[in-house]
Amino acid sequence: MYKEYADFALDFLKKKNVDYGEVRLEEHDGDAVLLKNGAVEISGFDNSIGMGIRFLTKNSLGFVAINQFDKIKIKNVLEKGLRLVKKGSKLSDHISLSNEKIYKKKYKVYQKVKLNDVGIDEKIKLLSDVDNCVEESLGRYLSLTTGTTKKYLITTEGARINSEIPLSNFFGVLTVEVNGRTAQRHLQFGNKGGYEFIRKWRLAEVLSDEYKVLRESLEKAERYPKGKIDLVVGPEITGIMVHESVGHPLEADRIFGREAAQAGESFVHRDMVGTKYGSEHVSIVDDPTLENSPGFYLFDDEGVKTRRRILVKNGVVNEFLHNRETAAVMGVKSNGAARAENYDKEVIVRMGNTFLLPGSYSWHELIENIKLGVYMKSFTEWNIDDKRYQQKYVGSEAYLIKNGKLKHPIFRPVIEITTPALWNSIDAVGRKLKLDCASCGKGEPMQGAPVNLGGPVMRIRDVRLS
Amino acid sequence: MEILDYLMGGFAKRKVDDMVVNFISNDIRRIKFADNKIVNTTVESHRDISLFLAMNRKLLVTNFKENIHNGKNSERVLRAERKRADKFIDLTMKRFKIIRMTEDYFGINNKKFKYSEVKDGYDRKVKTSDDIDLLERGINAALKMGVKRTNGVLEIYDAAGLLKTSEGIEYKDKKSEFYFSIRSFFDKEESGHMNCCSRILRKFDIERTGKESGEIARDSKDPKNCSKGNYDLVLSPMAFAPILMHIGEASSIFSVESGLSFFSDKVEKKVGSEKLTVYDDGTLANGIGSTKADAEGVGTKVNTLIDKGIFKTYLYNTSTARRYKTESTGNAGMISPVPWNIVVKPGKESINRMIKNIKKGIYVTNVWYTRFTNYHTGDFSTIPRDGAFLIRNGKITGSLKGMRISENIIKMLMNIDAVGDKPVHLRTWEADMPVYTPAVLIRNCNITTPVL
Repeated sequence: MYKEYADFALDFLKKKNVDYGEVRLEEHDGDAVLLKNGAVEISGFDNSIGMGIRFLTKNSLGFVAINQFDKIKIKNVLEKGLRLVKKGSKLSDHISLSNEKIYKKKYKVYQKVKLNDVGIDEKIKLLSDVDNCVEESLGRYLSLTTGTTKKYLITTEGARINSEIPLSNFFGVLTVEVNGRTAQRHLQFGNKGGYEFIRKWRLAEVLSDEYKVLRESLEKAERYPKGKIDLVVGPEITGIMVHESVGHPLEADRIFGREAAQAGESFVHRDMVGTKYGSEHVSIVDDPTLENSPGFYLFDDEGVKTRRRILVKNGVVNEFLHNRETAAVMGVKSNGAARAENYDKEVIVRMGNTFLLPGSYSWHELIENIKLGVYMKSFTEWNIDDKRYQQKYVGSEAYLIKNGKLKHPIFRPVIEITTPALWNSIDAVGRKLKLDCASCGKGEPMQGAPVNLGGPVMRIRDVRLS
Repeated sequence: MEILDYLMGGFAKRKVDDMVVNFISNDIRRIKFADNKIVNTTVESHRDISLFLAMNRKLLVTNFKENIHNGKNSERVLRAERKRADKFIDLTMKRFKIIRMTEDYFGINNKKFKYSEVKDGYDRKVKTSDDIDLLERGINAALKMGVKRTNGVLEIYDAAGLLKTSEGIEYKDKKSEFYFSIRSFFDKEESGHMNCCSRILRKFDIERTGKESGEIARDSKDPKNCSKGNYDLVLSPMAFAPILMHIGEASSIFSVESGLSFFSDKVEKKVGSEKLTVYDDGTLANGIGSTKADAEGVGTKVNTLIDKGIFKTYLYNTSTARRYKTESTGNAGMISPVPWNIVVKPGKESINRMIKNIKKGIYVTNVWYTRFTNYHTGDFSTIPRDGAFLIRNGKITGSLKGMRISENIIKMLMNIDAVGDKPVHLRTWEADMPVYTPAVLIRNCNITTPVL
């Protein structure tokens, strides 16, 4: 019944003769449960609905968000938005949108077991069973959120996209103490699909293993070696490296400075397509079309059909991530990277699922020739500067490699490295692709986006740990 | 609002023990600019009803949508609204049947408080301010400093709330806010960032903010790569704000119980230097986080978190306070205790005097991407950005880039050697918890850099 209000808003914009208008109606139904140290801290359910309405008039961009389905209020807030845009037009940037093919499509993600059909009691039991496996931890914080978002996107150009996408997300933090020392691990799982995916996560088994690794690290880990070594990183670290120092710097809105105040800029400039970014072993894609992935969608929030984006091909920059605004600046077509967190957020350029493409190396081949090295399987702390140039990753589960063999655990190895140094030092990439779920933060105001990030195990030659 | 009473009446009939029903309206205007030009103007209008419900120690949070009425308030519309509310109550009661008890839940506030209005809490000019003129003044003030580009956002919030509880508590609150964030670029690598926020227009000094952002950018010319090592740091209020946000979060009993607090087992223990005193102040005049009462109607107050280096109290709501046999600190959020405004007691030192007392140090004007290895121990790192100035023998000798503060938060608090004399009120993108703080001088901090 709410579509009537979206149609009303679009008609209103047409009557106002805007150059472009777009209405995104979003309804979310879901629930959440949070367990703290085994006890239900809170559970909840949520049904929210609202409209994000964007318009372009005389090359000035306006956005209106409203969650009241009352035509008088919609009209009033749109008029207010139009007035503010008009008043600000003297300072406005000259914004245009790329011309794109217009689609009228309906799609939904199939759920074998519908998220909303599984009672919250079963979800609480799932977390409780997980908690039982790690109850010796000093602190346990476990949450599960599930829900389905229905979107109805219409534009004055004639696009009409209906989608229905379920999303589930687990987030957990374990704090383990041994002899007064503590270690922590943050874990996240997510899929766009039915409850069957939650069962596939094997949460109890995974967290139980993580608990043992944290204990072992506190009990047995030794100092990590100084001087030049070879660093082998697991898919979790490959993923965060790909996301932070390839995906983000190749977002065109950063490159053009639109997010410069907060989310930051990029050391990459617009003329870098076709230039060297890393070694020939480095090929990195962003692909929102992976079914059931956290970053899945087929049409972006501007109605553009998305596709796999080859960001870096054999070490060379191939393309940036674009929405219609940045594509127009570059004189190219959008590659469907426009996403908004919710109806009340503007669409900006976002990653979907970003990963390093597999190479040809087996695990044995990756480490057999290493005299002295470190295998960093997972990480705790990380950060990167706002141009995406110098970054830090602190290992969580990590081992010494000596004469081609994996040895004892080592304690929190740290690598701080520049983006070119990192990607030019990759000399081998494993065969097996593994992806992890994450929430990517960007924009002002801040928007979170569910994404996948990952790749295979990769080897970084001749680097120094901090 | 009639519907709030209807919902509460419906749940009372179903024997729900505790109820907090909160209606919030929020009207927002936002102007985002990049390269001195407006890139988006936003107008938002939100109306939300949220509910906290407890029955037999089973806890639920949820929300109820306002009805469609197209401007009419006829009896027919009200009947439809009540019918929807009945359905919502039925659905909620079904949920109650299948969720588990929270054994250590001890109820909501049942005391009546005499609330005091937040001083300078609301300004009617929020409805009529000339946003484009404000923005132009902020940008121009930065450009006058000789910078080439400015980027940022101007936001204006006009919010109102009505809270009712099953214990007969009821209060209304209004809040206005003006927020400006501007990052100026003298060149690609030379930038300065400054924010300001105020609940009243008269105290919203957008031109000073633009000017200071431009000054930092102008002064940070030709930054050189920093060398790793130990440095004394002067952290400006912007740079100290993320650390204060984590102090606020770590003070909530929720974080302590979750293993996410570096203040675990630290009550009445030393966590900082004698020069450091920190409060959480829900009553702060013109405070962005200030509110006359918390989310269960307990009147807010000033809570001393750190007194001359000694950690004094966690932040509690009524239920957690009863669990620990203490009093609520007036910090209830919808789910767990939350800080309102983190306030640092000013000292007597100017930033210039702090710099004069440093042999080898860095004046840090902003940080970004603060991340923890371990929230329980406080091991973390953060990246200085925008103007960062090398200090040698009491003087600024140049600007720096490419460094990271890799430290432990308790160690840093212990090493505070001076607290500034000019506090400012801020909330930032990196630290959205409002703070009121001067600059601080922290001795002997570990600076790391990329290793090639």
